[in-house]
Amino acid sequence: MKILLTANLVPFMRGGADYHIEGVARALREQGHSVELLRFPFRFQPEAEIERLMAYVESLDMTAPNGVSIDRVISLQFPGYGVNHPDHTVWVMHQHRAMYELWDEKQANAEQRHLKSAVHAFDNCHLSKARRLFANSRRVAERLHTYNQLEARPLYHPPYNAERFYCDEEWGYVFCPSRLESLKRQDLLIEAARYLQTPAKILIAGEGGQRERYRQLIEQHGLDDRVRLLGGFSEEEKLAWYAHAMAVFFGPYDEDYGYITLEAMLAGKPVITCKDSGGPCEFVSHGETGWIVAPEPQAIAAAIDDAWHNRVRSAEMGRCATAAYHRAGISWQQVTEQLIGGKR
Amino acid sequence: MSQTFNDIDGLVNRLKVVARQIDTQSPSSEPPSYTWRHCLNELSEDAYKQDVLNLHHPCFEELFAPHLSDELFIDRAYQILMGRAADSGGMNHYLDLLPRAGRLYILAVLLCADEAQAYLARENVVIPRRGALTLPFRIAGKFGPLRRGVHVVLRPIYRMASIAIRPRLRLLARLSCLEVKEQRNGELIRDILIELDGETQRLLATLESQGAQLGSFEHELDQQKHILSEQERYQAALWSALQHHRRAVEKLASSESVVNTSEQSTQLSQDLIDAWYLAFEDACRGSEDAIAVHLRKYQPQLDIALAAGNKALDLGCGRGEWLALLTEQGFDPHGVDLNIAMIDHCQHAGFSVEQGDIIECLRRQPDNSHALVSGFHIAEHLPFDVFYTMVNEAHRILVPGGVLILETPNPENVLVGSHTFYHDPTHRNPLTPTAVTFMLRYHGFSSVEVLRFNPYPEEAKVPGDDPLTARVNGHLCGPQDFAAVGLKRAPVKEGEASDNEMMAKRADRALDDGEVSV
Repeated sequence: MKILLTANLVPFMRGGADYHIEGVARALREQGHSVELLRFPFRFQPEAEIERLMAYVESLDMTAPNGVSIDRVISLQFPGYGVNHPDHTVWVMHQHRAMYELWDEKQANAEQRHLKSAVHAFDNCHLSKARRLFANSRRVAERLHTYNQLEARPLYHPPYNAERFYCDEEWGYVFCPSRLESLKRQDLLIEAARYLQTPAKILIAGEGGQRERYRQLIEQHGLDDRVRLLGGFSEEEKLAWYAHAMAVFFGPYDEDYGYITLEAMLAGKPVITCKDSGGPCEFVSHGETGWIVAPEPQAIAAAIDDAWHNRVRSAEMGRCATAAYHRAGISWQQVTEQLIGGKR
Repeated sequence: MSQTFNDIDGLVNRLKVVARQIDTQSPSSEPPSYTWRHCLNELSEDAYKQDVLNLHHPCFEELFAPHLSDELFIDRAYQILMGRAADSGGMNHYLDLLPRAGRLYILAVLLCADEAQAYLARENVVIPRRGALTLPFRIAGKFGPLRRGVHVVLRPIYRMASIAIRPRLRLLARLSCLEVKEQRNGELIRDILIELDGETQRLLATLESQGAQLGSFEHELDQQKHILSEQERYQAALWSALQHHRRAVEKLASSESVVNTSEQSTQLSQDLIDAWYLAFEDACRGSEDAIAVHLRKYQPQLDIALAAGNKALDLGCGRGEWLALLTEQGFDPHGVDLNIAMIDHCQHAGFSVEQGDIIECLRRQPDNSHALVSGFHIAEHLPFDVFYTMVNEAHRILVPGGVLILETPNPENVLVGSHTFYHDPTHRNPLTPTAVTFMLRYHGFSSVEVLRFNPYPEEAKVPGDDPLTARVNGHLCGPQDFAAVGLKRAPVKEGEASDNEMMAKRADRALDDGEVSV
């Protein structure tokens, strides 16, 4: 089957999305399909640039460019799903979040308001035309339902290097790997350290814009002997640090999907997350494979203390988490079967 | 399994070591095992690969490779300058050329090749002294058709230069090889040390927890020992109870007279109670040694009695510990006890004893016949009239100068009066020192002294030396037994009464102060 896969490209800002896009392309090729990957350069600013890209994409008819007929278009991101094709499958990684759940009515200017209504109209029009509509997670499906009254099926995919995660003896620390950004809320974890009754340690890995603020927070509360910002890390370090953790903290605000949860489960570790964290809550089962608590430092500290007080049970919860991951049947094989085979 | 790191830096270091051990190439989900041992193996292996460190920035000595054979030199030159292995044609050609022209010449030839120039430009490889190496070639190029001849001249010059710089390059190569090795070993040793440090800490923690466990085992062992010794004591009691039952049954079987059933049942139940009491005494009384040490405290009273004679009567003689001491001190003691098992025991030990009622026994004795009458822990078992009669009869049978000793639990110690006194269900009421003293005086004992014994050990007391602490310790930890010792005197002479009063006052004052030490 000749498949055109569309996505965006934000030059030199590689992240989880790139891994996801390349993963889909590779998996489809392994299934024997011819795949062309079409990536649209994406700029967040200015607003007019986004509208220009939307208009351009909408103008593309990919049914049979240059007389070569394409069997299927699969789109992963806004605005690629605007491309015209009679058999269009959309697997929404996330919408243009700034115009949806991250929209701030008070801060918005006229241009942004204009863009917002344009994006909503664009999404309503093109997503409803898709032959099959999937969402990256239940959370993303919920948003499509809430904002666009569209029904999408959640379709999960495995994290990078899924087969390499392993579990080893736990060394009594809570591991938190994420970019250091406000939405990831590492500050909740740092603040939680102030309320710990047990000597559990906290290791926060990753780089990002909030590093200085987090560093000051640690210093300000004198938590230097309990909390450590590890900075950037290699793939090997990530594996090792997951392997020896007692538990993993991942409490972002309204995350779409969140590889961290799945990675922790693969590494056999229980996950501490928050009620409003979105994606992670789809995978963590409170009391069985982790803790879902209020997004407050005291509640997080209580969960960490709980993990520490019964470390044998915490390890058991980790094993349950691995089992839960495998039960969920998350694999590229499953992804391609759904993308190609499933009917809407 | 889990372990705890007290030091967050130690934890982070150790995690980094583990990460360094993860093999990027092998997609294994097995955890790396015993990383330090792995490092140690690697350290002892000297298989250091003599590779070019950075193919984009080779050192000149790496290019010249003075330590490598000619084949390897050519192979490496191809690798660095063209990114491929030497083909056999090229290899043979240069091997042939090498003895005449030297390595510098070969390098210069290769550098001038179109393939190498394209490769180096494409891959951005920087070759040190590239200009100097190829300068003669470039000059030769200007000679046009003559350049072949110029090359013939150039070859020996290049060769001479190769020979000249070879020792120096050999040293440089050796140096960089050592540097690489040194760096690698340093890293390995650091990793091993971090790992070993972590391992040591972990072993220490294990040792500590095992030490604590050992402590708790020891404590448990002590408790078990205690339980065992308790059981040993009960074993003796059970054994004597068994003997008592045997005797009671034998007695019943041998009595041919027809006894009516109610009497028989009374008789049997008394036997059962006796057996129980013997077992109780065996279980709850102190060890024989402790009793012997205690009885020796009466030495001054024994000395006084001995001055009056040597006939002694012990009321409720029990197992005869006191009889033994009296015999040793030169008395001629006689014991009386209701308990048949006790009497058996004393007869067996060769003491003069009888089984029967103490009042009957006292009444049989003539006036002024005994130097010492004693009753240890008997008064508290008696109804008032019997106690009264006992003291009265004792006074009657004592010679002037004779001594009466009555020992009983001391209710001044609040715990005795409220608690331990009632261990024994055959006890009636605690008797106070005041009551017993009065009873003796009333019956004519001219001097009555109260002795107090067996306080709680020092470690059981509340620490401190203020009046409140002294009072608390006095009432809760003070002497658990007291004895009233009465002296029978010949008709009163002047002065003696006042002595008695002084003694009585002293006793009263001691009571008021709660100061009950002996």
